[in-house]
Amino acid sequence: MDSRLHMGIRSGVALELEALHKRYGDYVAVESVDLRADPGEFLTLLGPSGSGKTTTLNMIAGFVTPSSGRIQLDGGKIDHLPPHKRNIGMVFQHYALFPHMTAFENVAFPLKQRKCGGAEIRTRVLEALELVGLGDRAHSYPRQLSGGQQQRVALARAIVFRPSLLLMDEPLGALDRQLREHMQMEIKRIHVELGITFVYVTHDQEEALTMSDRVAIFNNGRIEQVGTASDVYDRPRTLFAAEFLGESNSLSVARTCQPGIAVVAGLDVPVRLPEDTQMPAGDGATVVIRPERLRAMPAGLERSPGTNALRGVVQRVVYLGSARRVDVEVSPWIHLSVREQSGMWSPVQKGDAVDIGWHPGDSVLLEQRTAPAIVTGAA
Amino acid sequence: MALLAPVGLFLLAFFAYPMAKILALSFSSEASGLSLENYVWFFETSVNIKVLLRTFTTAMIVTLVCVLVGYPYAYLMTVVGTRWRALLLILALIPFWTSLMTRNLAWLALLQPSSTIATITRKLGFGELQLLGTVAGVVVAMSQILLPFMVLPMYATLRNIDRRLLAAAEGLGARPSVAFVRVYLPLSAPGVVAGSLLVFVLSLGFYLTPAIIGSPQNSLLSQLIVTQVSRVLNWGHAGAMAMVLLLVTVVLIWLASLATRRNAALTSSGERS
Ligand SMILES: Nc1ncnc2c1ncn2[C@@H]1O[C@H](COP(=O)(O)OP(=O)(O)OP(=O)(O)O)[C@@H](O)[C@H]1O
Ligand SMILES: [Mg+2]
Repeated sequence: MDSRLHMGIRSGVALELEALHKRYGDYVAVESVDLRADPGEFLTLLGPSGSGKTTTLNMIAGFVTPSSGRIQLDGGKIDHLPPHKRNIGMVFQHYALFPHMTAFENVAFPLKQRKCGGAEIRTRVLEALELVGLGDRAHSYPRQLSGGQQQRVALARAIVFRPSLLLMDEPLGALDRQLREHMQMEIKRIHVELGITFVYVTHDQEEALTMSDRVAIFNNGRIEQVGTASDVYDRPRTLFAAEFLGESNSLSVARTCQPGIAVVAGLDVPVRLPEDTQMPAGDGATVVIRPERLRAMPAGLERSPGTNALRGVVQRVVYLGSARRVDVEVSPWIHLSVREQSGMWSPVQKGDAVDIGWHPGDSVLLEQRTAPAIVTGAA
Repeated sequence: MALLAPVGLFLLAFFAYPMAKILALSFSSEASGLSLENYVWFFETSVNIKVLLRTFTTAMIVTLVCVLVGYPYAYLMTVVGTRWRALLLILALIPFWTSLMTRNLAWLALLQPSSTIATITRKLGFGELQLLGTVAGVVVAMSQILLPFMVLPMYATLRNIDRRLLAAAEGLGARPSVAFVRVYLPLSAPGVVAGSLLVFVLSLGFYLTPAIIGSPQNSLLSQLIVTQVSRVLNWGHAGAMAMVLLLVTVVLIWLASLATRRNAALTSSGERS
């Protein structure tokens, strides 16, 4: 670790997006995005392809002009500034290294624009390359470097001028799994070391959950939910958020009779919900449970009081390496998946009748109907 | 290999053999067999040196004019929509589809003292613009005729430059003009060199345009060679002149390829995902 790097580095800034819109003709790429990143925070924008993540990042960096809305850094408006005056670091998905410059020259580029002296440039470039573990490749051209190394040069170039905000657009998209995981750790380490605000874009939910302080889930140009990893994973607020962040089971609800109880459509079975659940005012609701929160056990065994249970038949058992997935048909329209960590497998096999149980606290009630096909099927 | 045989034969008959013949001629003399007589004559005659220099200056000016006109043109082709690009491409290619003679005669008409252009420049107060029979007139006509040879290789290079690099440079603190100079310009160098080389080499050996637009007082080397062949009937002198021209050209191409090899190798396979 290089302690010299800390010196002179301002800590992160607060970034604030207010009612940000971007329209391309009739097409709305980003719609009323309100988002705040605290100083030094690692904020991730997560969403499927075309959900407006890059557009949002480009508006922050100044490459795309918002149709309306405001962008502020530490309370100061930056909307009117051209990209070269914003002093924001950016790592592109395609790296965007200058092919005619060596790694050293690439990293020196932002310093030259800031009229730093030769000696200062030298020390700072070498420090930055050292930080990303490329001190020995300073004089290689981008084409002589591997994808991961090019990515590190891009990272070094984006932090060498000590920006107080660093934007990264799917920086690991092109790397293989092992290198990806390694780079994820490197990026986290650099984040801790520099203490600046990071806004990170990815469509990989695992990456988002492991790296971020908070995650903003994008869908169709809108933010579905913002929160810590466990907030968005364990307490999704929309069906989209629940389904995009890993696997989930959804049960559509016929009615809610009393506080804390919902009746599953098509089954007439009551399901207990967490005690603090707000019961929906309108009709149409869904109960969502993560597969790893479900337990499968042979039908007819006694279950602990207060838990929920549904009976079904095992249709398929899928081996996943570190776990296995048991697919259970509860009714022709209701299928549940149970995820069992290896070593904790229940004694059920394909074709067995099973009881699926879970703790009421593990269900989440959403005021949204699940996929219409199931609802009409159950009606 | 067998398929290459006809090509080989063709090159042998229409390229290697005449080349060897001219080389032999340049070293022959009427009196004795092998001699340097023709080369001595070439470098001792001051008119030859003067014409050689004029040929080089003309070629350089034509190349410069083509770069200055061709670069913005090729650049424009990379930024406009597909329709405009097709139109610009066709405009650039039209000269290829019209005969060289037609274009030279067109320039002859355009540069007449009584032509519309001359009238307009006179009215605008540029005075009497003497283009016909001057090096300036030759440069104007040659530049127009050779422009496609500049635009096409340039466009091929510019088209492959990743414009996102410009945005990246701006994000790193470069003003748009600086981003252009520090990133775009260096990446476009191979195209500029390739186009310049083509235009320069073609200009060195250009005959028709200087013969029609220029004048004997301002003749270029190719005209001098033709004079030696068709009027003076001294094939030895003509051979020596041709060899000097050839040698200079080959050396230039070699130097230029040395200069661009590094650059081209670096940019051609650069990151472009
Ligand atoms: N210049 C443009 N003109 C028209 N539409 C555009 C333009 N740029 C982006 N879009 C549209 O805006 C939407 C959002 O694009 P954006 O690049 O922000 O998505 P993204 O979330 O980054 O997706 P990905 O994960 O695939 O990179 C897309 O549907 C895209 O087609
Ligand atoms: Mg994107």
